[in-house]
Amino acid sequence: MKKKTKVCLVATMMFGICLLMLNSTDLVRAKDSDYPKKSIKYIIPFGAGGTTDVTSRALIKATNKYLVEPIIAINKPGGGGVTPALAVMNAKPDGYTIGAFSSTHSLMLPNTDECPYKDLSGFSIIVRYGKYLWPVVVRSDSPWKTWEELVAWAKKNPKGAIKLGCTSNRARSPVGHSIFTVERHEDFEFTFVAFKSTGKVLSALLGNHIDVYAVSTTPSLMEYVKEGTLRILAYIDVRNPEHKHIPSFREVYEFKPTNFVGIWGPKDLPNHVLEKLGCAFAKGMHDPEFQKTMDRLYMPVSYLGRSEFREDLNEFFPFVSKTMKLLKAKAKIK
Amino acid sequence: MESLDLLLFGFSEIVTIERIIIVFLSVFIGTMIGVLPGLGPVATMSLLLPFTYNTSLLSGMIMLSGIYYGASYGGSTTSILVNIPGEASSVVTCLDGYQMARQGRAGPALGIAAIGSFIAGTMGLIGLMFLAPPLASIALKFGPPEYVSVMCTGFVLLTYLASGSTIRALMIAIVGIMLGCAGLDLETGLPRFTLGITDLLGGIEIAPFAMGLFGISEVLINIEEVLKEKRSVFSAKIKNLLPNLQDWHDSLVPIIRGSVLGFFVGILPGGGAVVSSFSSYAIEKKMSKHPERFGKGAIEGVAGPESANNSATAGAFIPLLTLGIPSNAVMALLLGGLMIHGVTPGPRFLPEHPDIFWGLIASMYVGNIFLLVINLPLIGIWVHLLQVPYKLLFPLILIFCLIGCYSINNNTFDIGVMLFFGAIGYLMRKYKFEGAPMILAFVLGPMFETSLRQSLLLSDGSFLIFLTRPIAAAGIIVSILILLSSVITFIRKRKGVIEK
Repeated sequence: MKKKTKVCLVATMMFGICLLMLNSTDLVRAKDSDYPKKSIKYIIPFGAGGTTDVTSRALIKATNKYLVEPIIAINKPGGGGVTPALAVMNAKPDGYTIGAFSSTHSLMLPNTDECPYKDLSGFSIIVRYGKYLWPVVVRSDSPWKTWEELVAWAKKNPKGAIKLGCTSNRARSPVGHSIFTVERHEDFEFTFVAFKSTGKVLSALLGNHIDVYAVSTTPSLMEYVKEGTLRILAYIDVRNPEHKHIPSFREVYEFKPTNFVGIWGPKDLPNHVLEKLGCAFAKGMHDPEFQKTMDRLYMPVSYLGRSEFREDLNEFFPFVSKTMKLLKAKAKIK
Repeated sequence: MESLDLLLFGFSEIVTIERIIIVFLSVFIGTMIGVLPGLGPVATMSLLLPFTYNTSLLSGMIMLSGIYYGASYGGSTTSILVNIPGEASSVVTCLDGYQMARQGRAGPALGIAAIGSFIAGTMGLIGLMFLAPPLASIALKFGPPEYVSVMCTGFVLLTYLASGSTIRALMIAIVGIMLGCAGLDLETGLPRFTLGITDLLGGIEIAPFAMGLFGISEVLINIEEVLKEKRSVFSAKIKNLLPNLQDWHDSLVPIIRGSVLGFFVGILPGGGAVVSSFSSYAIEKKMSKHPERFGKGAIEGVAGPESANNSATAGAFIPLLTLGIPSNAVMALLLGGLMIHGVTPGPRFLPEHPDIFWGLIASMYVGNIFLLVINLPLIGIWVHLLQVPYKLLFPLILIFCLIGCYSINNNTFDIGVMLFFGAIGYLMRKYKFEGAPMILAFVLGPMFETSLRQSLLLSDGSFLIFLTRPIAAAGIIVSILILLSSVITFIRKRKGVIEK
């Protein structure tokens, strides 16, 4: 080989080796300080336009100010909640796929037969950002002016005389579980009628087809309450601060409803990812525009860090399992 | 008249360069989205929703609704050209529209669809303007028992969708009902027909199902025909680009009937556009003096349903704007957009925000005109697209279907569904089973079952609830009358044949 060629070859090799060395040191450093290096996918387990969707998007908008690369939301409803949960659980634990979740996905579904995961070990918990306002609503022309009146009436009349509208089978929803606890306490029964969406339950109540509405608080619902057409008898967990006189089941019956909306990712997410995300979301929750949106959608902002949130979930789990067994047994007896 | 004054006020709100451009762009985007199979207005609107945060509320609403009703104009295009329904409500247009395209009459089909949509959209808006509050309170009276009776009527009309054997239509309809029941049952929360596949827990998505059953199967059949008989799929001779006088004469009454029917049915939350287009087709066929023409390229079969699904989009606004209750996924998105701006639709919406309501209506009048202007010239382009040799056309069709199908839920399972039903649709065609009755049953079956069970829960198990409530009873009587009239017609024909 000619001398020039030899020199070129060696030079190229050395250049290549230098590059490799630089890259590999970069690789070691890049993991920690350069996350996120590309956009992060955030899976919303409900359809677009709903409370969880709108509030998640508002949180993402506020949080993106604190991240180098943006979080991008996509809607992936389906499978009763199993599909979006699996999409998060089976993703690569590199911090680029996370999602929102509620008690349905984390507590109720694992206790069903068709859910592939049976506990929370497949997930990393990142943060909790809110709680739902769950009202128990009747029309203002109904005979019950307070919750106590409704309970008294229910006890005097045949079981299941009061028709309550909700959006899913009661075993799969936190509202269903909470009301079941109350029913056992007071020893009466509602007849649960499930509808496909919150809007349908609202129109069923307004149209006098059902007696009670027990889904979530939406601005549309609040319009009717403010107008006087509908009346809130009780809140299951947190209450609207303007309604100090309305009882909360949590206080009256002394139990902890599984009420939360949080963010999770696949298991074994590296610590620096959890730290960075947790920090960014916490800052995002302080953003005034986010808080305004949460206000408008009647969702209280409720921060809880990942370790306490995980503890909470572990505490809820056996309680939910037990309730589901009772509900399944009840359904079979009929 | 007060309403006209308010309408003028609405026009004054939108006559700014910015807003007119927004109307034009949004209906244009909507049309294109409607043309692409699968990718629907919901996906597009949720992508564009963040833009509405920074604009004024009215501009945001104009943009989102423009996409919505623009898409219903474009949805008929692929149904007519290549037998691919972009959405469930465009399925019926495939039946006769595609046959017209094969006969070289794609132009008139597209033309009547566009003009029918324009007339229907405008009539729907007039209904929205004057009838919104009273209709809203009537819509509230429709509870589960009333829905059962509406579904009953739908089922009775189902066999009108078949142009071939009625027995086979009924058989395939039952399969459709079974497929519709796949997924998590609403009342018990238990999975049905899910075969252990988690993706089936949410049921079979209708858009991939329809795209496969109609579109993919059509491609497969055509490939076979082209290979076997070396015949071209579409008639080489294009008869004309626009509807002729005879077409106008035939279509006028169906358009009016479809508009009225679609508007009222569209008000009912849940399945409004689908049920209205199917019912319009069945009614046109029943009212026609030559029902045997349907399924072979009868223009009434395009005019009626296309008008119905357009006025249904106007009707769908009523529950949202007057009651704050969204009747479908699109309305739920609009509701989200309104809520972000702190405006809640409901009983106080009209009195407190007349600028939004009337501005929106005014923008929809303008949007409908723009849509007519956009769609009519495009007919020439679409028609000539069909002249492309099929061996180049069908891969493009398949690619569009794939992209459109995935865009619905970002789920590859849906693509599997589409391809599976493409194969099933091919087999069905070979054995002379039709897809339309199957899809209608697929949509109606679960709705009927859910409403039936809800009704029985409300009545504590008594079936009398269907007779004691006036609207429900009326619906059931209508269904019985339709059945009776078919029986009478059948007996008369029999008598006529015997006498001869």
